[in-house]
Amino acid sequence: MAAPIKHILTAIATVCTIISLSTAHAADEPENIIKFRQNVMKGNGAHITNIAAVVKGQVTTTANLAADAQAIADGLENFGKLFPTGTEGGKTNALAKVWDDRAGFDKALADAQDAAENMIGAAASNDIATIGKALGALGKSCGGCHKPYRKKM
Amino acid sequence: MLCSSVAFRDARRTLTTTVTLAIFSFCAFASENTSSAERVSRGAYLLHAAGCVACHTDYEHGGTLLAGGRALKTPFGTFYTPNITADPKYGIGNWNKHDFITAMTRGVSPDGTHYYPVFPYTAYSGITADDLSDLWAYLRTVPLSRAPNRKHDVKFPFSIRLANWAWKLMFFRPVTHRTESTHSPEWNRGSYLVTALGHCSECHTPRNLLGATKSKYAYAGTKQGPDGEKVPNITPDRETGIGDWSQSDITWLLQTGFLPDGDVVGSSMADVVEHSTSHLTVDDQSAIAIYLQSLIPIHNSVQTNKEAEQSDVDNW
Repeated sequence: MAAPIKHILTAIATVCTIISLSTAHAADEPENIIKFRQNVMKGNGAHITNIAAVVKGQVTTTANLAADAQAIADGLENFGKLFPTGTEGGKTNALAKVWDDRAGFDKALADAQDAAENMIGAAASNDIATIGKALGALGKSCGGCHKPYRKKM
Repeated sequence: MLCSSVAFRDARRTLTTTVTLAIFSFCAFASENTSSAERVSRGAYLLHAAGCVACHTDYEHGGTLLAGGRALKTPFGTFYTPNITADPKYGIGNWNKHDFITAMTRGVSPDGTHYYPVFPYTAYSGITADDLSDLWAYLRTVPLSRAPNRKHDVKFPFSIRLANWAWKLMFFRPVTHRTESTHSPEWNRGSYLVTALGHCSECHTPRNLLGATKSKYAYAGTKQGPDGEKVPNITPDRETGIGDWSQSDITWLLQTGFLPDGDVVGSSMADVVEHSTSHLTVDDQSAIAIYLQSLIPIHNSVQTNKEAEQSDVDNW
């Protein structure tokens, strides 16, 4: 009798350990956060490309401008939270400077957030020149982070 | 022995030339002043087209316009760009137009020193005499800066300045820009902007062990660019270059720094866009795009996840 109970207990303990280990690893793994923030940026890139297509006159539909501009601002709003300590290694192009000079990084991000808010206003104007100008300013603010805090690509 | 006697002879010759030219230039300067306003404004435009601002201004440390001091890290060592304001002591205020043209097109300073090819005289030798005159006219108007020049921190044997003289014998052939009648005026303008003024090849073409650009791989990109950056392939190769970009994708980047996927250029090219290409007229931006799209496509992958792996055409 003792031997089967021991085996069953061992099995249960093993299963519990595996479950607890795997749940601890599933949430907020650095590699998952890195992928997540990269996706936010990919999304921003797609929205910017759409606004650019309108500014360049490649697409005449202006109906999506507001949604695109809003999505960029939303994506940037919590973007800083996606750079917790522990996510500086691995498959990331973020430089250690993000963490070494956090104040500078946060300031550059805040500037980008302002530029994105400004883009929302410009999109509502429906005036292509205004939108183009706002997009130019937004691009410059992207450089505020990408130049000093991203690996040269 | 041979080297030192050559240096001495060069120095003596240069001294004589400098004195003679100083007298000449004083006379010339007085008569030139009349039609200068237009020349100065053309020169200001050319300064941007030739990309002088981004290298000769240390923006990162709040440096004064054209006062130099910007560090350029290369596989040969770190170069610090010189002050090119008209300050007579710290800048090039003591130069005359001939000195300037010699420096730009022959890579020799008024005291006979041969410049490192990090200064793109190899490309600038193709700039027209008129454009050089206008650039010079503008440079005389730049506010003076008393920022002293910093010595280059270059590895041996490149630290021997006379090696630059030998380098020139081996690699430097001055360019004369000719209009190619088989191509459109826009293409010809683009060719001039890209090869002479814009000196795009200086970063976008891989270099050999002695730092000369490999013309066979012109514009095919390199993993060993300035400041250790990867420099993209800008030939129209569809897979590894910009073959799937439209003409407007290229002009858009030159205007705004945006890539076709909505990302922004974040490396040295960000400086080039901010201080050079975004200042150009739309016609000139289009001309650059037309010329780039006419290049021979070269297959050379610069973007790769294997950091250590070198591209086919880099060989150090």
